[in-house]
Amino acid sequence: MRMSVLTWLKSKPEFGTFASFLCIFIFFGVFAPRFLTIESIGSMLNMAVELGIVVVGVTLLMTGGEFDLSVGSVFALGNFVFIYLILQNFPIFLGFILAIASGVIIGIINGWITTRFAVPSFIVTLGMLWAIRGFLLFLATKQWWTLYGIQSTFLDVLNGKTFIFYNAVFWFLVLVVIGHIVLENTRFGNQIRACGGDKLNARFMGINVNKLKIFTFMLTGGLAAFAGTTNLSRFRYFHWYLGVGMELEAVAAVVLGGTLLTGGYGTLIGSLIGVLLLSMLRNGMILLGIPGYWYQAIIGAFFIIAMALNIKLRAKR
Amino acid sequence: MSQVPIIELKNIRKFYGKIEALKGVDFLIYPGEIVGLVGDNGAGKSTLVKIMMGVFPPDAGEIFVEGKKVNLRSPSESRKFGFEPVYQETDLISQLNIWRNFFLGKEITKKFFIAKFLDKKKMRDITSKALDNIGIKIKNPDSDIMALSGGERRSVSIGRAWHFGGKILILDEPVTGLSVKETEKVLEYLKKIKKTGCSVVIITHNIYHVYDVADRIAILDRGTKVAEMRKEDCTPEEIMDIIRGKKKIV
Repeated sequence: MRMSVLTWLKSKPEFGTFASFLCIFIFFGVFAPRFLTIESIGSMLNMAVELGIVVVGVTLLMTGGEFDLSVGSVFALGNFVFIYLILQNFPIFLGFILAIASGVIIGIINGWITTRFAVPSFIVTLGMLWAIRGFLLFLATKQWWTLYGIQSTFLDVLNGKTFIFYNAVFWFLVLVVIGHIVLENTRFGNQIRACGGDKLNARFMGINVNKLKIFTFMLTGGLAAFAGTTNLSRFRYFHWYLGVGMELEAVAAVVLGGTLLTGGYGTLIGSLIGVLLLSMLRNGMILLGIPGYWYQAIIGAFFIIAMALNIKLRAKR
Repeated sequence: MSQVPIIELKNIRKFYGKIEALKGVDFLIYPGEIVGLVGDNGAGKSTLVKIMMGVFPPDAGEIFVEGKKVNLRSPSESRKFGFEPVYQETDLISQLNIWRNFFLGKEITKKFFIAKFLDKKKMRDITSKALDNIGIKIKNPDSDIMALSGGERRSVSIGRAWHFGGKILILDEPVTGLSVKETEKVLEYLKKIKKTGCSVVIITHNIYHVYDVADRIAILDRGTKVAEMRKEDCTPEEIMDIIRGKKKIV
């Protein structure tokens, strides 16, 4: 039996988001001046990448049925550890590795507490969100943190500008592809989905649920810190407020893309569209000249409507 | 049957605190037979089966697997002997499709450079074939589990247990909650499984659920095996009477 392209598209959980993406793209294309220029599309991608890298980890974690609300704080922590070590004259590459390690360690702690003490990850990582932010507030508000005057090829490669794109766009897309393959085509991906779907059954089939979960927390923490290092490479300064609210944007992008809030199914392609959708909305509103204070209200309204449509579409399948 | 039993439990006793859940029960299973383990709630059926599954050890008694005395210390040890449980409460994972469920925890992979990837084609084929062998027709191994009926879901779990080297499938209330038609189907699959030489233990409180397919029926009552008979020697009504305690058979 041959399916038409449209039926095939409709059968995908990403379809709803993809449809909204297209509609909004066309809307801005018609009404927003200069929206359809290379620069505008480049800036849309550039705005999306840091959140995007975080979202890759969050997608895997949510597929496994867990939350990480600390990613915004870990993002800032990755920034901070990196800049701190560079300013202490550490070799930049070593600083980069240690910055990512800081995120991985937070991930291990999150995962260990969640699995060992059976505290919902929502709670554990909410606590971690405050704890890290408080720690940064304590440590990092006494001076200005900037890399002004420091030249580094490593930082340029990590997130310099090539043509109109920052290099992190490339890292982001590579991570999406890897994440997609992992989720769809590996034993790990299959078992992550099983854990998110039904933890008890998964354990019964001989899967080490706790080990898998701790590993995904590590991955999420590591990626959030990595996003932090790319952010630092781009802006070359640190402020304790970086990444505030990022955790909720990440959850929004992930569920917009079709990953189940309850776990068991996840899609990196969907998350990619979700992230681009959020940044396209922002970019489009800027180009339309909508006053900045309206952004949040409009994005919020859009989010609710899009999710309602998504769920309706999914129920029809 | 003059064969060696696959498993033989002798004089098994088990205490929960001061309560004696099993008061010296003998139970054995031969290759290729379907045994109904029948009794009311609290009769000791689950306790007996959990001992077979290695969930906990008996307080007294001996276990022989194919004639050799063994200690079943863990479920994984018991599964190595080929005792595969299909519990009532554990079913398939609805978010995964059929082949992903079928191979969950035992995924087949192929190496590609340094990484191992799922061999989806092979797993799809094996899933279809394995289910087809015991008469379960599945149009598409990529179907959502949600699209299957209760009976089909139960059948896929049974097919999975059988495929992965089960010598004895232990089914806890396998047809509870299924419609009459679906019950018939599931029992039909069990008959096919039996023909492959695999044995099946069906635990149930309702004799009518197993009478059709069982070769032998053992009845437990408050920790004692009160009766055991070949199906030809009794009617379901007689068995119900024994369970209710109206009739005594030695």
